[in-house]
Amino acid sequence: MNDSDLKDIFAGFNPDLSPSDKFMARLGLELDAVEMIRERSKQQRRISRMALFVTSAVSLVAGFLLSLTVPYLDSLMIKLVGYILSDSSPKFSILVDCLPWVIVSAAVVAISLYTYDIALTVIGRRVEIRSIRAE
Amino acid sequence: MERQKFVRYVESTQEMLRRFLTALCCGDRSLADDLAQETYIKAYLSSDGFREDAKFEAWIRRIAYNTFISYKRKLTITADLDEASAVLDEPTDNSYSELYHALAGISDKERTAILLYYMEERSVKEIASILDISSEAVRQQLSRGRQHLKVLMINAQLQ
Repeated sequence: MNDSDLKDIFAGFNPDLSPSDKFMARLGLELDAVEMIRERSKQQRRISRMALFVTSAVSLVAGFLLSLTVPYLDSLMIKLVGYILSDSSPKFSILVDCLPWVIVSAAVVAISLYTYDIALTVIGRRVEIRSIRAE
Repeated sequence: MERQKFVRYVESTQEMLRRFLTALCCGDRSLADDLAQETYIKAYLSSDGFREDAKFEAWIRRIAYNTFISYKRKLTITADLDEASAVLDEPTDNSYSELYHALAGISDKERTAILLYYMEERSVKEIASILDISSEAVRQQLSRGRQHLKVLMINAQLQ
């Protein structure tokens, strides 16, 4: 079998295909689904960005306000340590210095996480309602 | 790429691609259609980076070939080899059954090279870019594919 034999075999190769309009209609439906998923993920990214912005703002304010409580927490710690331990050794004084900031940081992290969660839900719902109205 | 433009490209290439995939799937028309759909969806998803209009056909063939290869890989992982070959041995279009059976007897790479060269009349260089192999390797696939096809076609005629 040489080149021309194979060329002859394939020259007339014209198999029965399913109707083109059916193929295009099916592809149209699949492309619709792809676009819907694309649109959804774009919307999701937008919602995440907005939630992140809200979280940053809330965390900044919460961090500032909570840092104002550090002097009070400091004195509270001193009182607490003095109440628990009679001798005020230097190793506890480091703990007394750091603990208020640790508490503030933990509180800010917790607030940020909850805020992000809440913002994601609230903004997500708003965007969904807006898109339903638009439809 | 805009959807309208993409659909225009699909309309102009779908018959050629489905013919090619039907031969690659050894006559399994529904499988060829499924792979063609998957090919176009993959192309649409990555069409944003596509700029060269003239090379759409070659690009779509490369995606089709890769889709076919990943389908075959999945098939060999999920089913046993007997089942896998049985799927390809059952052409839904009987008008070329002799040719389909001969094509089913050669390797996927040889079959693709043969189809692109003789059916699609692509150059060795173009086939090399579609299959992502060297021109020399394409020549080897063509030569081996020709030899295998020859034996298989003669056997089919004798039976």
